[in-house]
Amino acid sequence: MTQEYKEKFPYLDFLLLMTKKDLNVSSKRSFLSLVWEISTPIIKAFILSFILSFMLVSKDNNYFLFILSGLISWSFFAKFIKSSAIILVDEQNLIKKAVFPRELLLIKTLIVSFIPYFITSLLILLFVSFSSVNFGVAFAYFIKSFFLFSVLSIFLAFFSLAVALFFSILVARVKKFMVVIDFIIQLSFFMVPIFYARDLLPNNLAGILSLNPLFQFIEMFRSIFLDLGMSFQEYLINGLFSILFLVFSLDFFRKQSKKVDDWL
Amino acid sequence: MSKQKQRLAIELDKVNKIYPSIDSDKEKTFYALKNIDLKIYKGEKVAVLGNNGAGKTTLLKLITGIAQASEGRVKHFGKIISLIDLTAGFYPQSSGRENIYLNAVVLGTSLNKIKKLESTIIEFSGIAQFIDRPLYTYSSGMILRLAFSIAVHCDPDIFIIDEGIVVGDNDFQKKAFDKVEEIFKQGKTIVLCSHLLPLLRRLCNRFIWLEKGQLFMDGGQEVLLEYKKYCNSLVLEKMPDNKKAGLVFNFLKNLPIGEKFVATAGSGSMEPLVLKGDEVLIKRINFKNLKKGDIIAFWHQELKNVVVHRFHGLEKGKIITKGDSNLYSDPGYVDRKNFLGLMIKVV
Repeated sequence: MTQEYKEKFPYLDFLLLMTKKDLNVSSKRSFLSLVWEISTPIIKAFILSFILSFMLVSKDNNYFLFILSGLISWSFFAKFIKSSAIILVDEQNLIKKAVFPRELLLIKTLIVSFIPYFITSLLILLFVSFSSVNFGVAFAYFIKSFFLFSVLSIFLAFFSLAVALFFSILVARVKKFMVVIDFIIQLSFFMVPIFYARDLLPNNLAGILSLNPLFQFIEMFRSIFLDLGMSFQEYLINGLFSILFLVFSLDFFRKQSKKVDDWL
Repeated sequence: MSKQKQRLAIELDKVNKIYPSIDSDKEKTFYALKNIDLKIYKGEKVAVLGNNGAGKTTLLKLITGIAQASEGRVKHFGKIISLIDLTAGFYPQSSGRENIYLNAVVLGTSLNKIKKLESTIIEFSGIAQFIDRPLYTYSSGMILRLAFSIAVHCDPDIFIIDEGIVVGDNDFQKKAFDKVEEIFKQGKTIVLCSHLLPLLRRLCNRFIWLEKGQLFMDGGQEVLLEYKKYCNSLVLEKMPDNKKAGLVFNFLKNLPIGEKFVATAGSGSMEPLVLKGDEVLIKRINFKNLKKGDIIAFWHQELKNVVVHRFHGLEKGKIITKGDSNLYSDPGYVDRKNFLGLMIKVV
């Protein structure tokens, strides 16, 4: 009896070619756009810290670094969610052409947003580490924080992907939902501690806001960048939560994405 | 050959496809396909017949897996490539070569295999000199050539083909036709849906007639013959009555030279250039200026309708015409009196 045919789809080749296409519009232009993407969070943080330093009585000399450390991971999250929520609609031609695992489209978008984010963060980390006088101490600090940062970034990527998988299905179903997502992203800027510290909030409010995993992520990234020390328990809980959330939403996405052709 | 011994390629088991109805007053759901049981065996060449909206494309989509059946099971045994929408999934900013890679990988071809196929695909498409330019500089004909070339070289076991398999200019059409016929001879399973009945007759050995989402007939050439009869009866029903037809002819005949009008093709006699249902633009020109090979429009006395055919030859001052897909020419039909104009293009 014939077996139902299941040839392995070339996942890695698909991701490689698609990512290359997105990063590589033309070599000259792509270099400029990469430079632009890497520098925008830094410029934004600079402007924000400059303006806010007049408004808030901040005695912190490192207010620029303080904002930057929060802004960079939030920017990655916001940019990725914005571009990936609409991806099933944007790529509907591809979806109507062939059968391939639809989640690859989101993973591709994730990689494309992750690369400039990772480079910017690495630059900041290098800057923070090697501004200390002693090279040996600096190097040890860099290795440790780089490791913590990388693992946490992967957790953040998992969390973002999980959110994006849900949103993309919602947007494919109801295209107007994109407006709501835009609003949520804008709102989230104020709901996570980017330009303020948790301590400035009233206790109740901080408790409620910190239920948002993104809130936790931002705080942890800040602890790594500014060497504030953090709880490894929270670190691991966040990681575990991200993984479980991703498994759950991937399952949801795979079931729903089979119907996506009917909605587009 | 007994079908039990043949290997299954596609199996549909009590398949329903239900869409929510757009018309809210009536029933809440609409069956695009209803209770379809279908077994297609390896190597069969199946043509799907039916009106617009009979569920042909939905059936093809379910077989490829692009859409999911609401009820029932769809299985296929072998790599499927669908030519439902050839030019889908192309990126205008990327070059032709990059698009070969992107499109082929979406169709499930691995990078190593694409590298091996690359030169064959480029050569077949016949656009080697433009291959490294961005796709937005291509004409739509060139994109079609590239798309066709990629799809046929990705080596599937099962081909799903929707309308418009014949693409590009005359030269490439010939090449594409040859390739399609070659694929048909390779023993691959093919499910095809097209309005080119003469082509289907030559290429396919099994015909499935869908009517309002249900399997109406399934069999050999006899199904095609029945379907042809049914199509012709539809055309006759739509024929205008005598009095009005005369008015239409007078109106068209009195249009000044240079004026243009649009007519809808009621039959497929000019396939593959003009498909049934296409709208063609006709320009009034002087009868003297006609030359052999022109596509001309004239008034057919018996059909009481405009006919668009090719200028085939001259006999005693009258033009002999022939439809591109007809075998025989029509003797002595067109003269100064019933000539209407020259077909300029398909709108």
